[in-house]
Amino acid sequence: MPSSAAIDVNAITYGHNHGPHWHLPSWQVLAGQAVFLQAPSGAGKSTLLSVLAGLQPVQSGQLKVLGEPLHKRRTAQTAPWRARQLGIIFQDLNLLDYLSCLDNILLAAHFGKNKQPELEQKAHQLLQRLNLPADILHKKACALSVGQRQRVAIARALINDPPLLLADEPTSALDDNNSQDFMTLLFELVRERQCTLILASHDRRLSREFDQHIALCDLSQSL
Amino acid sequence: MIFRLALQSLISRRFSAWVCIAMITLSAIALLTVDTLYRGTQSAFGRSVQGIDLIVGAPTGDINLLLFSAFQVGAPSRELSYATFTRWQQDSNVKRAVPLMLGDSHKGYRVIGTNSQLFSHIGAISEREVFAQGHAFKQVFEVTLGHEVAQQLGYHIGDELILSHGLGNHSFQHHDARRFRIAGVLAATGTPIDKTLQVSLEGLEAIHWPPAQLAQLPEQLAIGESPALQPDSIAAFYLTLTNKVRTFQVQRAINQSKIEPSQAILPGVAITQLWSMLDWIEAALLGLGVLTALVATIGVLSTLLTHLDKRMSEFRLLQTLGASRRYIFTLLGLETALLVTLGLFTGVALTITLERGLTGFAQSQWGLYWPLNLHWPWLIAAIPSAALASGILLAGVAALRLKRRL
Repeated sequence: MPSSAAIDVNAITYGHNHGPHWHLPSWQVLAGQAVFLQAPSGAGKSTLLSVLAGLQPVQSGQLKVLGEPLHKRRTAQTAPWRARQLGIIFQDLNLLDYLSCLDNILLAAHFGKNKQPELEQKAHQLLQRLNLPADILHKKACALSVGQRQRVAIARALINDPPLLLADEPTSALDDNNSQDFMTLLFELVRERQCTLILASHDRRLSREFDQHIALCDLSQSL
Repeated sequence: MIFRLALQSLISRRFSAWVCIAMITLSAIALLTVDTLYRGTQSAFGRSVQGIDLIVGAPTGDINLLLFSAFQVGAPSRELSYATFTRWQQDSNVKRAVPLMLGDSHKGYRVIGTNSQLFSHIGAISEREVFAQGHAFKQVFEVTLGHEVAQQLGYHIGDELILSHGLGNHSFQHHDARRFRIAGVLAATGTPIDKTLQVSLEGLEAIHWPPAQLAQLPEQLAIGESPALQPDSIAAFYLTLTNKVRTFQVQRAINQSKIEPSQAILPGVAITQLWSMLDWIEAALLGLGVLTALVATIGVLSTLLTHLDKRMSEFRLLQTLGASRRYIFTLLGLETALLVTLGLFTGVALTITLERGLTGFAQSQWGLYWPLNLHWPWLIAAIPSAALASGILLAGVAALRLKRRL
């Protein structure tokens, strides 16, 4: 595996216990690349991202993410690694409704054991960078619009400066204008931090600025 | 952070959290109240014989003598001569002697024939006024009422009543040749005295005279004015000694008396014997308390477990952010422990408030003494232990239910 590979897949099989299974023969993503993973709904995008995040085990083959041999780890063992190394944005259910925006962001820092001084100020700067008003910091997540929640989710994903960002249909709940704004901001922040981005979506229109554009059906085979 | 997370999570589900806290609070109140009732009953038993060093009657069982003389339960099988009573009354070791004549009733409430020493005895052990209204009987045909009798039958000072023969609720023989005028109502004592009527020995003797002889007695007759009314026998008498060190000596002297066979018992010892016979009540009350706590625990568990399925997305989000399973189960345990702690503290606080607020009222209305005697070191250890145990229990059950889903 080249030293700059963020993801190195070698003949892995993965899937749900009582659901579909897939085989992915080979795939590499270099550090700092932005990869657009395109597939229709239900094709296994979320499952692949879960496997890359160590939330689901690989059943066979070898998978290294940021040098971590996930095929040798049980999912319970990957939690601290995931907290420190990954930023994850979902299509929905991104935030805990009962916490404030600040607490949602600081929760990721808490799990990542991020002891950086002035984390609160960093969260504040990230939100500013994402064009969110300053007073949003102490608002409960349930009081935000969908667009605002997705931006707070970006801030949370980036608070630990992770080398790898996984995004699963992050714009599915946004309208076209908000979706474009979201992608612009996401790319700006990813480029500033030089982190690797894997974004899975069914929407081909989002793929313009990515370094790699992969159709999941070309990459993996359903078993 | 985990504490803030648990607290915010509970606040977001405040309705079900309040339901859980209410269940725990009520079970804590029930447990403490059951304990209080048990202690209160014990205390009432103790207070019924407070200040009495010996109870003397005709030879019978210890518990029988205790029951009919102090608790107005059952009846004496034999009586003791009045001469024996006067002899011990005059003994230099005796500070106070209270005679008891039994065998009559009024509307189901027992009548005690006695003398003014009974009121001196009540006054000596009570910190309050002996009489709520009126005064002790001074005339042969005057009666005083226990607090509950006056309250239940609605009698007032000056009212007149007829005593009946026998101890049952429905007597067929009424001593209706003479009426007794109510002279006073005793303050509530929380002892069986509250459920009795008290008349003079002479009064009780008089109504058992033949009608023709009774008719010759004047309506207004002061106690002690007619020596003929002195009874021949009484059921029992209480003795309070001048020096408690002599109790066993006096008891032995009574039990070995050659003049008349009699029996003296130590009421405290007899009550202990009685309690040891009734220890199943303690077990039943304890069982009731444990059952209440168990019902509350199951209620809280079922409420919290019902929410687990609804919270799966929350748990998955935490897991995605890097929370381990152990962290999630600890969070669940902490939430439960917080609920239990809050519920128990509220329960204890409410019980104390109720006790403080109702003690005076309960004492004056029902003579109920509420000895809420919290053992704080035990309580301070018990609350966190209960919280920890319930937290571990819930986390354990949740781990079993969710281990395949997280």
